[in-house]
Amino acid sequence: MLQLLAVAAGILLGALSGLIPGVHSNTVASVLSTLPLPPELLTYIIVAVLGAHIVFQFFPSVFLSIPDDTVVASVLPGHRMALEGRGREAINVCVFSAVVASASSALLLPFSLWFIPMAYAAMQPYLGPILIAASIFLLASEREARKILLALAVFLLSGLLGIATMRGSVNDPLFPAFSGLFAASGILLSFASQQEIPPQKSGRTQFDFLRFVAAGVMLGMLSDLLPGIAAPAQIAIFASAVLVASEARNFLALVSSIAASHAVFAFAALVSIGKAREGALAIMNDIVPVQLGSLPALIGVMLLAIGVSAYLMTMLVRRAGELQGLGTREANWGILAYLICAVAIISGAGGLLVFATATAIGLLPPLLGIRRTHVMGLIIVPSIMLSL
Amino acid sequence: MQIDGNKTAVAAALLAVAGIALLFLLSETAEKASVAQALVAQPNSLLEVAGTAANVTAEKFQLCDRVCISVRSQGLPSAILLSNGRMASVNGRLKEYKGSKYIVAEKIEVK
Repeated sequence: MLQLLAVAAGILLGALSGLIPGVHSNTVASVLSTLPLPPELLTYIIVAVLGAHIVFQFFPSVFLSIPDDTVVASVLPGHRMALEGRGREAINVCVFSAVVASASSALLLPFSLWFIPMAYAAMQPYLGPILIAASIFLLASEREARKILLALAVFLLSGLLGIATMRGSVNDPLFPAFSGLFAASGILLSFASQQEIPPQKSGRTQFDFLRFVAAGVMLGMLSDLLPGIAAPAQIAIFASAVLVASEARNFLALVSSIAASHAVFAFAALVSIGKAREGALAIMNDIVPVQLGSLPALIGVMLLAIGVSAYLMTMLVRRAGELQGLGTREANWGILAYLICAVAIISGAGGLLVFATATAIGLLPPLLGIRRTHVMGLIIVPSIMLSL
Repeated sequence: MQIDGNKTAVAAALLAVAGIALLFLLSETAEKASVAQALVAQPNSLLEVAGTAANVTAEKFQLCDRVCISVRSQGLPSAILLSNGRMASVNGRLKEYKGSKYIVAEKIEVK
């Protein structure tokens, strides 16, 4: 009974951290770890926080265009769908994909315990060249020489911002950077185009994207091999160029299944190669070291949290009609003010500088007529430098 | 409201370059030092020191590698991740109070 209460508390906290931009599941887990609770209950709460956060983080990404670092790639197609009145469909795709991907990943866990150590040893020496080749492929997907050059400039500018940010002493630097690149720049452009969230349609969602979920599961396992920054987001961006997921729903299915399977396979990475690819797992591992024998219970809690959160999220998204009109000037000013305050509190004055610079870079792709994914140079370029 | 795309793009690019340049200027590179070196370094120098965490409290801890140095970590979210015996790398400025050296952490990486 106590265990179930712990899972329920974890789901509630994970829902809050997912819905409130800037609050990461790692932050919640680190605060929880200071509480005088029995270790077993603490681990259940932390795993449930992680599971619920994965599901609820899609809400601000789709409706407010404010991404979490794991699912940052979802912000563009997700928000685009919300602006087309298809926000509910976008959330349904994300939630369904996360549920199917996490369940499939749990089934593949025994395989991953064998595969991850072997693949990790094989890939380690070639990570730098792999990331460079993938970046060239991403830039070349613009096809026209002029656009490729512009994309390269934006990619390098974002990369320089990433390097400058990582070198500095800014706390949680990805929050001001992503908020500027996607949310603030989008809001500023919306002042010119007067975009607003229209009435949300309530049609049935077609579940015809299962092959992207399957690909996401395998790529999620791959993302646990990478030591880089925001590995699931990087994998999603590269995969989208290879798999030609031009349809927004397919892309969302890919991103959400990578995020969910990344979290499940993170347990296998921790047990098999001793690398905690999720901050919350590192904290939990300090409280009670994760053993092979404890995996079934922990994965069970994770699946339960994702399942319950998925149900709650579908209930929440039915009320998305109340978001109609969000995106008007007043609401956008409110979101912008919230972001500036949150960045100032979380990351300080240095964070505000990162936020302003990232906002300027985020304005470039729409103005230059290239895809916004090139701003992901922010995390890709520093990862290349780390791995060379 | 109409905006001139080209002019706005040029202005945004210039702002981005200026912001990045400022970030690089402000990011004074921390000098790598052992705990022993930190204990004899000049006050106010920016150091990157690695060691094992000990005597961890909400506001401070010690970083040890044969010898120990105090680290004030108040306000840093990453400090909550620390626990006794964990390896950590601290970026921060060296301070001195009544002959005792300590680091005011600006960034903590828990390993």
